[in-house]
Amino acid sequence: MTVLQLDRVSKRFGDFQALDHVSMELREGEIYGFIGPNGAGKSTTIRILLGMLKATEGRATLFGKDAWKDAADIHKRCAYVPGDVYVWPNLTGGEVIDVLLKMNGSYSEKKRDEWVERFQFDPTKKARSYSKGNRQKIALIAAFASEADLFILDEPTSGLDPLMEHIFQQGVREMKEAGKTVLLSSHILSEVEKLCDRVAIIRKGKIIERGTLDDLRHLTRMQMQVETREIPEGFANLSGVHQLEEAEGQITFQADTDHMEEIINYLNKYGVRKLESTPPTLEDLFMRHYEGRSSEENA
Amino acid sequence: MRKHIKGTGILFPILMRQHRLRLLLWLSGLVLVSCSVAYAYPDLYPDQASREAYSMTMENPAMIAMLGIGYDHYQKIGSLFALEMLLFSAIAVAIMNILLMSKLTRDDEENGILELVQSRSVGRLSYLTASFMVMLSANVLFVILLATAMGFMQIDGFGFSGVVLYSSLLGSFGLLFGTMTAFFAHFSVTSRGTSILGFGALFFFYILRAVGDVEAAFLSWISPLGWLSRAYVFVDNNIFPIGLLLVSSLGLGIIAFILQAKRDIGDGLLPERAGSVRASAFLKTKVGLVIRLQKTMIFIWTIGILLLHIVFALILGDLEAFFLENEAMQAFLTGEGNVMEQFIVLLMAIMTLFITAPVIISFLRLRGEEKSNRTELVFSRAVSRMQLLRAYLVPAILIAILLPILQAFALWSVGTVISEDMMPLGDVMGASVVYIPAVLLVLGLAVLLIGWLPRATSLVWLFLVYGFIVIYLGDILELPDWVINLSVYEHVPVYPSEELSYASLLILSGIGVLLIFIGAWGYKRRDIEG
Repeated sequence: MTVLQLDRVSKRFGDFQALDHVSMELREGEIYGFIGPNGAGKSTTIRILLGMLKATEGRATLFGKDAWKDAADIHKRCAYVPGDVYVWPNLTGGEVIDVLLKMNGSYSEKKRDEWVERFQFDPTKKARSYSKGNRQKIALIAAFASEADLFILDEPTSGLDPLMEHIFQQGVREMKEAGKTVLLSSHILSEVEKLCDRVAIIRKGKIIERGTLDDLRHLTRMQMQVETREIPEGFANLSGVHQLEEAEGQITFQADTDHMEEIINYLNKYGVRKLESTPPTLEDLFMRHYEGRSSEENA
Repeated sequence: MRKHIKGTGILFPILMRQHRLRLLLWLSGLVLVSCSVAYAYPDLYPDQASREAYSMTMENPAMIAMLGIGYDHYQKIGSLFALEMLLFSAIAVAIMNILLMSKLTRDDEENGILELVQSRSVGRLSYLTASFMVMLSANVLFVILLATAMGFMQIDGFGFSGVVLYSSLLGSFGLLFGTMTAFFAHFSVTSRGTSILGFGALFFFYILRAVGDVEAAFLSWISPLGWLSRAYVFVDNNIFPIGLLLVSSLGLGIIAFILQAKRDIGDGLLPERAGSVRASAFLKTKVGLVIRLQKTMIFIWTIGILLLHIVFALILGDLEAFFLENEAMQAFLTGEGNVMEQFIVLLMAIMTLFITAPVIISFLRLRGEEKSNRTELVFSRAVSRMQLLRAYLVPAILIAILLPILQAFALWSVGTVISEDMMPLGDVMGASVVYIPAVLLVLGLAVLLIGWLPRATSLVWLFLVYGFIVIYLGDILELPDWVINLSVYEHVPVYPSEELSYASLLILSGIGVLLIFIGAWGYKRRDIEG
């Protein structure tokens, strides 16, 4: 079942095209990664989903309802955590959490206390004295303790320490196990890699890649390190081999995944002693997309 | 020492540029109002008789409590001007300095600007030094501007040395309160707390002087506001109050710098209390949240307005004498009825402006919340645009309705004790509540702006300032009718002097409600910034 759908959504601010026909679909129970650098349009997309901004073109629906028109209704089943959490400075952290939870109707105090405990959060202080990470905990506790079916998380861990980040990741996994859907926007790629089933990459307001991590990896190259008895002649001319380097009898290169068979067969003739291959990290994918494109544009 | 103030030379122009617009508006406003009032004074009290009438009212303890000790005689017109203007101008200058200095000190510290600056090769005291230089420049500039402007006007009975002393008194008073705010900035961890301490001190010293001037003179000598009247500016021209102001500024300034050198960044000397772990049932409602966020503001305005009414009620008995013998003051009272009735009608017209202010402040917090990115989290919950707008409208409307009722009670209850021929409660109440539709109309304008021109919401303050100019200075400046009619408040029927016109009240309320709906419609369909 589709929980969230963006259908060719565009957003213009004056002359600036913030989003250009963005489409996206989240199925029930999946964790969807949404990655891209600052200013690419992640937060604009999320604000359209939350009904704070009105799309110039296209349609955004959550649970089959219009994100703009039925915002308050939709949000009963939603929980949102922004990257920068701004709360009322003269309320205590505990009060802010209660106020936010209550805005969605009734809530379980037990669950709230449990999450306060897990995040080791001190709810007695005035919100103005909290650090960025602690303010983020307020929003995270209010999100995890609510009865939401969809979690929209916009760089939710940018202020958390590694321990708390771990608690956060546990939380997200628990939500998934409970059959809930998560949209995780982030530029901490290792986090996305660990958690997400599918990923969309946005750049300058356009989705440039989407799919499972495996899908994305197929589009790109493996990093290979090989030691052979004899030096493989003419290897550099083989199709699918890139960035070949030789040092002390070892060669390192990048291999196109769809040429892997031919490359291995070719190398075998020279007596392979050692072979290491590393799948590309999301970061490699990401960098390749961005470096490639921006050098194209500069040229 | 040098290393402690390294970088001040770079910081000073930056801070100056940061605050130049604010300062420009304050300084030109203060100078303009002072000069236009000074210009009108010779016409207000043209002859000896009218001045003597005034001196009679100054025998009333309530007048002394409000304006300070008077002069022995009022042969020079400047003495009357100083009596009515010096104290209140000083308070205005102090407010400017409190706001400016809490921004320059604790606000910049709270927002992390100080930390960023301090991480560079900049002395520990540089930021404070540069802030002081900005505040000092503002006050010096004010003295020069005011003295030059009033000096050039060459009004009879002012005298150049008096003009210079008058301006310098205000400037040094401003300096003292700017310095005091820098001192308070070490105690509170927020700029809000800092300015509240500053305003609190100003209020405390005003009350101290009021009691001192009436009952025990030594109290007035503790209050800087008490020093001002003892300069007998324009008559005796005593300089020693300036000395007192400068020496106490210096003392407080030194302490402020010592504390700056010792205190950890971000730290406050007043301890913070541990708050509650859970929200109360009231706070969990939307209106409850809004009221909770504004309770201090609402409380301070309510107390201030009620106090003013009590003070005015105390002088009601002496009104007759004052107005009857002063032809110029009668310009204010143009309607029908006896003097007390006319005075109460005028008072209510002016107080309505004071009531409009908290109504607008309360509602415009909605825009403030948006600018501080706090509405985002609210709208991400199951809260619709209309629900939040309503949650902000309810307290604003409550203030607009309850304050007029409360103020009528305050004036009437003290008035009946003081004077035998006090107006009946019904008439006082009527004179006050008849303005409610006009206040709602201004609120409607605020809603309209928030819905359609969110960046220009502060424009609504112009209506208030304009209303103030028309009521306070309209007759003195002899403004033409059409200019006066631009003010919303001038369309309210004057009760009980005039026949109560329900039609005009209904029209005002109708426009107000219509504006609220149009504004709400705009708010529903526009993008939310944060």
